[in-house]
Amino acid sequence: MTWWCAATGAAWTWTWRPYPGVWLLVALLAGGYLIRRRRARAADPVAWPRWRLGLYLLGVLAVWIANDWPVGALGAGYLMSLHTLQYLLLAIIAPPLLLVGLPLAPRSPDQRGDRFLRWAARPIYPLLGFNAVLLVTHIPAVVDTLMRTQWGSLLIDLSWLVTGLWLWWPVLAPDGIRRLSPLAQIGYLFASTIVPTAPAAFLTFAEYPVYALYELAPRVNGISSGSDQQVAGLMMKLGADPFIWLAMAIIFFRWNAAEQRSDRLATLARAAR
Amino acid sequence: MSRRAFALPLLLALACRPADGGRQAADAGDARERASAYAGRELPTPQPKPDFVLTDTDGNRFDFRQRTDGYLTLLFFGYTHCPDVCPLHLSNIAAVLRRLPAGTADRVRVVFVTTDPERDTAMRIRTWLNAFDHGFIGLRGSAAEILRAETAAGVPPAAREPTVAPDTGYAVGHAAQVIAYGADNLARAVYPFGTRQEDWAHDLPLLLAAAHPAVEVRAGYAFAPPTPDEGAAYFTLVNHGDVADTLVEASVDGAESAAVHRQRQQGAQVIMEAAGAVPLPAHDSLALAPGGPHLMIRGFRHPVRAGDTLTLTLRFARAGRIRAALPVRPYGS
Repeated sequence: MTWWCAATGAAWTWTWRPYPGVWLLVALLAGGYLIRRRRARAADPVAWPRWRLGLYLLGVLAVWIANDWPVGALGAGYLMSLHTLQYLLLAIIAPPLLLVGLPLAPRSPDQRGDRFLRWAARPIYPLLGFNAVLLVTHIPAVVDTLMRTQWGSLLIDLSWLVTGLWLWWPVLAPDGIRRLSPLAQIGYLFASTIVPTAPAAFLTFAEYPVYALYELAPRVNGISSGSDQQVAGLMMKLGADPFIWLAMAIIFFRWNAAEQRSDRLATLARAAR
Repeated sequence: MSRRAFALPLLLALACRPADGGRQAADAGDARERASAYAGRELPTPQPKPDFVLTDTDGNRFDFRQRTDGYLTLLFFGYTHCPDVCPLHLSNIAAVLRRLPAGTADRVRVVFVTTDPERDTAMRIRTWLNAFDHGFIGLRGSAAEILRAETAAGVPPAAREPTVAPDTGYAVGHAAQVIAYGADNLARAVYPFGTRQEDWAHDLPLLLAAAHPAVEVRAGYAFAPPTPDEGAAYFTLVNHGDVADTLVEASVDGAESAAVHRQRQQGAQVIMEAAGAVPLPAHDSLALAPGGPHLMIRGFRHPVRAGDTLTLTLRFARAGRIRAALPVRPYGS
């Protein structure tokens, strides 16, 4: 039984294959949420609104698409470009959707057991952690070794998802965890786009294929390993950055709207006096 | 920031430090280079180009030895329904040939011989090869003719195998290596499945240079060593090529070691020291002569006298191995 997608070296066919490990992860993510939501709504019918459910399920869908057939199988052993799509879905797109969709209860400042959550929200650590994992998981020897086994492939996929959640934590942590100010959030997210430029450029402009795994994999629809790698490099940069810019724009406009609301309230208060 | 807070970034920086990985890779590469100048599998002795006649995709008789004479020839036995080895070899070779300097790729012939003549019609082979490179030559013949060609090339005969993919009917087990014959009609290396584009990029210039070395050893000689411990040899290296080369290693048959030494002034003294890798610029020469840089030979296993001949082997980064005979002259003559 193949639980998780890994490189097999076999010629690619469009024959569907089951990956129960992926289904288990998706079931845990979705099932755990739905159970918790039902309990929360029994106590408070307006808690956990429908729009949060939608965003969360979109995040779960991103995790599912990234890991299951065909994207997971093609990305694990055939096409570097789809391996990069997996990275985008797991590390960039799914984490903010999951975090926004999960209405974590506000934490009180003296709540016990929150030391780790507070530590994780200091921006320097997620920036270092995310970029370190990004760089290490794109070293040719690491990719060529880990992607050949189910455990290795699982490790890479989970490391992207976990560090992706960590990257977004200082921006989307619940009330009571010290979040960055809106301007600092924008600066932080911009800073997160700098380091990925290096591996993206490396892949796009490398003279020859970097990863033996993808260079020597049976070709899919005649796509050459060189073109595949160039597309992967471009996707890493041009796929991730617009998503992060969108988040930066949302933060900016929400901040701006909050400032205007606050000004209006101040004006009204002065007028009332 | 606390001391612990500093420790995490430092650990992470060390964990993803590219220099270590790069050095290990370079060490592995150096180890491979020491064993062979080629990234491919170097043959212990050069093998002659086989003599066989098949039919090309235009339906014309193709005398393999005659039609590829003077070219670096990459010979591969495969079949067009092959799901992995054949298209990968040909696409990797094609990708590297496209990047070679203008005119260089014209000195290379890639010859594909089908091991599945039943399904591989001339038109199918031509269409399939054109997907990689229009210049690739496709050959077919009867099963007996192909078997003769395989035998002549020294590869195991192909055989039909069952396949799990029902749409392709059957698979063909065949030799997975590309055989590289130099312009002198000798094969020096073969390239098994797993050969990467960077391997081809490394080896094609070497293979092209092997039959027509760009580097020449001129006017070489050695002095009869006064003791069996050490002696010296002199010669001039001439690089006729358009690219710089580097003398990486030297050896002399019957001696423990050989290395280029140069003299250096240190205060009032002149000291000798190993020069390491010796660069040889394009269209330039380097003279090793008494009183200057020379080849220091150590540990003669047999007595060497005037009138003998020493066999010198030099390994260059691009030109590969070059051998030269060094007549032995009386010491100091």
